[in-house]
Amino acid sequence: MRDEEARRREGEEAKRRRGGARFSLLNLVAYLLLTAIGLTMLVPFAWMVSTSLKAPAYAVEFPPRWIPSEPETVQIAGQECKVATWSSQATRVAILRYSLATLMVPAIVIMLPVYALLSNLRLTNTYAALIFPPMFSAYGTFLLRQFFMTIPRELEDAAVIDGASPFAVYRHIILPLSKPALATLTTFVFLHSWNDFLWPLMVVDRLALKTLPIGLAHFQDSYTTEYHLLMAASVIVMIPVLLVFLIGQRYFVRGIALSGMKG
Amino acid sequence: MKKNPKRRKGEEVKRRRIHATTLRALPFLLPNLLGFLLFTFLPVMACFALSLSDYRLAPIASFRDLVEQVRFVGLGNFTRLLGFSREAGRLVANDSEFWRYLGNTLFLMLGIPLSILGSLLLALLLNQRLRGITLFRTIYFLPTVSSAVAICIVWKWIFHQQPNEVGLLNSFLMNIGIAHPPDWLSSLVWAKPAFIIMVLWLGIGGYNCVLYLAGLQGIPQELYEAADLDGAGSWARLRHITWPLLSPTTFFVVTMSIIAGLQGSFLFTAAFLMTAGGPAGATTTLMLYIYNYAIAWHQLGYAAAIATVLFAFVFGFTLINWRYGQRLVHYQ
Repeated sequence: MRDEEARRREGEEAKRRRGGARFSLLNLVAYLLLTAIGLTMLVPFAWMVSTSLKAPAYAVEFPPRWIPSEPETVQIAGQECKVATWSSQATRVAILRYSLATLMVPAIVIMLPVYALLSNLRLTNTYAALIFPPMFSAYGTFLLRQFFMTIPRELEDAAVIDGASPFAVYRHIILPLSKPALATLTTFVFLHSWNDFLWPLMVVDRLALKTLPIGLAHFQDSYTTEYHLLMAASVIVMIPVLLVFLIGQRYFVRGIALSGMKG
Repeated sequence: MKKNPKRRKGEEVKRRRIHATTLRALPFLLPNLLGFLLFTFLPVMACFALSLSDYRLAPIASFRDLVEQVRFVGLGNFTRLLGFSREAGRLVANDSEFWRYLGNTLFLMLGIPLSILGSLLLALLLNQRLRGITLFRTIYFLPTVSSAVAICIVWKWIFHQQPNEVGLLNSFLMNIGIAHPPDWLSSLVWAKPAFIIMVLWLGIGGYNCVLYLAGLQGIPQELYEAADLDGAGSWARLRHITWPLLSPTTFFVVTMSIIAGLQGSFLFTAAFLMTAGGPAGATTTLMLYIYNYAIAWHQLGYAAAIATVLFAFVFGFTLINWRYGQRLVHYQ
């Protein structure tokens, strides 16, 4: 290990000696590019925040101004998106997703008959309709399987030799080792449930049951031109997800790599 | 190939052992299998069944309702959807809107190769051993985790163009000397490119980029060192080491992107919120068409038929891709 490290460092040293100036110039170019792309990514977000802080008359100003001339206090724009949405989303997150392969089936193929069934049972506009049908997805199974494959077989074998039952192997070996994978999945499912649009749109039209994205869409219908309010609402909807992403980022990246690479 | 009897016996034992393992695994698999059965398999079958009916989402309270409301129409929905008929000597599609919206869906998928190429280049940049890469990676990933609704609303505002109001993008374009920038979302020509721009912004630093980055980090450093010794330039290294060794990643990324593109859940949100599928249907995708039939027009049978056709596209593509696409993949 250490040898390799040393060799690599030596190689880099040699490279630097060969063309020192060019090397740092390349770095500079890379940084400039990265920053330019990064700024492009951030512009819409910055514009969202900037508009959300503007007084109505200044929101549609031309040319646009980034720093509001008369900053308005942040208005409580998300009032229509009831706190109730919180609980529904949280419950969905709590129960982990579960299902077999069929990643190929378009979601709408499943949604249509389930929607027909729910509307016949008069179950649309209920928490149950929001929470239960989307719980089962092939993705969670796939991700966890990919993770289980990386757990050394010897650990299981050793436990079996010690006389552990299959459930004990699961409970005392696989489950504790799977914590990072479960954290990854929790982050994924949280973000997905929080942002999900189509399913809540189909099964819920009572205001009290709308989730935040649906509430935001509804809000957009009512306040089409009042961009400062719309942007404020958007900022409010995005903050929790961004926090979860920033905290769980490590798990997130690992999860993508895990489910993507070894299919 | 002849197998000797000893070997065959060994296989027999092995098979029996696998059988025992399956039995032991069953209780663990059961909850998952049940969930799959209830929430995936049965709905898919029900969707196929619905696609053969003219069900209009009328309430069904009794068996008689069921017989009256869910009438079997055979392949009627499919001939209406996919069929052509002769009118005044010309072939005319029975449902010309379907073909148009299929065209829209495919047009919008033109963003996919650009997006994948962008992700690859970005991953190559991020893979340089520089400080602060995590920060950049986080920033690039932000659009992916953000609420699609919030993103659509802010982009609608960026593309905004009214007689007296100019959105952020057009005020930028006017600043750099383009006197008459396009109307974007209200233009027949520019609405789709506007969506593609948005999707590029959204996707370049997203999942595909993270996958490519993971792929790049999995390439053994020795290969590059060997290439260095042979005097290979950076283009040669990219062309003959990086690209072939990334081909499994590329295969996966292309497959998933095309499947996601056909389903177009983000573009559904975008069309629903930003343009309502307009102007004049220019941004209506198959997903929005299905949604309109099912939810807005209550023709669930026909909606199920369109969904089934979409499924067939995805399935057919996946099969062809597995069969032929994998030949292009190099494994180490």
